[in-house]
Amino acid sequence: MRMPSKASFSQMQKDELLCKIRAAEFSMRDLGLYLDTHPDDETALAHFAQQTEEFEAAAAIYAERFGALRLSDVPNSPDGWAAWAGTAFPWEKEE
Amino acid sequence: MFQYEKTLEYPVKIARPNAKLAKMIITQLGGPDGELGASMRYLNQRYTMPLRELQGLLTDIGTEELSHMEIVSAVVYQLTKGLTPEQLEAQGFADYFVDHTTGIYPVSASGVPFSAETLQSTGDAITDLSEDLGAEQKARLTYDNILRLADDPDVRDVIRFLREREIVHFQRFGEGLRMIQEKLATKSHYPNNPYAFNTSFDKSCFCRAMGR
Repeated sequence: MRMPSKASFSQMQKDELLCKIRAAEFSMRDLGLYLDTHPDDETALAHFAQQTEEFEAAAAIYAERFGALRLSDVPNSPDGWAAWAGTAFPWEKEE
Repeated sequence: MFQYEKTLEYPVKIARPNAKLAKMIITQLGGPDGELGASMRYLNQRYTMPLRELQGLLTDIGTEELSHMEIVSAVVYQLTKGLTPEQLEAQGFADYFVDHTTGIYPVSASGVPFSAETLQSTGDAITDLSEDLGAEQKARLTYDNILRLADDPDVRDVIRFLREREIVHFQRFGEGLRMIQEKLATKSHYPNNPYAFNTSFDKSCFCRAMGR
């Protein structure tokens, strides 16, 4: 079996993490709309807590390995800022 | 305040450019029932919405619509990327190209630039929420029409996601409208007529009705 090169392996990890982040964040957004008008639904509250935890965990790993997705995750250094502005925007296919 | 997150709500990866398709899909950026109008409608309506829960709902749905605007723009951007002027012309994109090259500009499929006249913010809760229900259906219908015409699976996948969100928003707005009507029906001096006063503007009537 051919092992993926280091670059493609990390691209795979990056895609997987992004997918996790999007999925958790989408669940949070969808549950959030429901909770706006159903604030005492305990099942929805539990799901929201779980998705928030998954989102925060995945976002922290992503920020550490691949760079910031949010302003609060930007490393405050010349390299950190250059990477925040300089990495591909999500409308590019090679996000 | 708003904070940008450097990822799309739903990923867009389109393998084959197609300017003809881009010209149809751009209507969901700048057309009469597009995402720009949707976000502006909800984010502007929320200030005078009388119930906090409904202010919250308009804020959250209006914010999601901004993410949808970015998704639609990403689709148009990728569908027109890397084509020559000759290819763009052959694919029916010459008129757009002359004005905007391949820049993203909010127009409808028929080329009419975005207009705030496609939306309302009336300062009346029942009127605004009723408009919002209609707006979600109109956007859903536009996505249905795009799905009738688009055969690229990469594009269809994204359009289906956006279409489903219109249905969820319609559901949430329906609950919001019911919420305010029920409060008025149980506590109002006019229990059978929620239209007797403007729930946003005639604050004294509304506060009395809500027991505040």
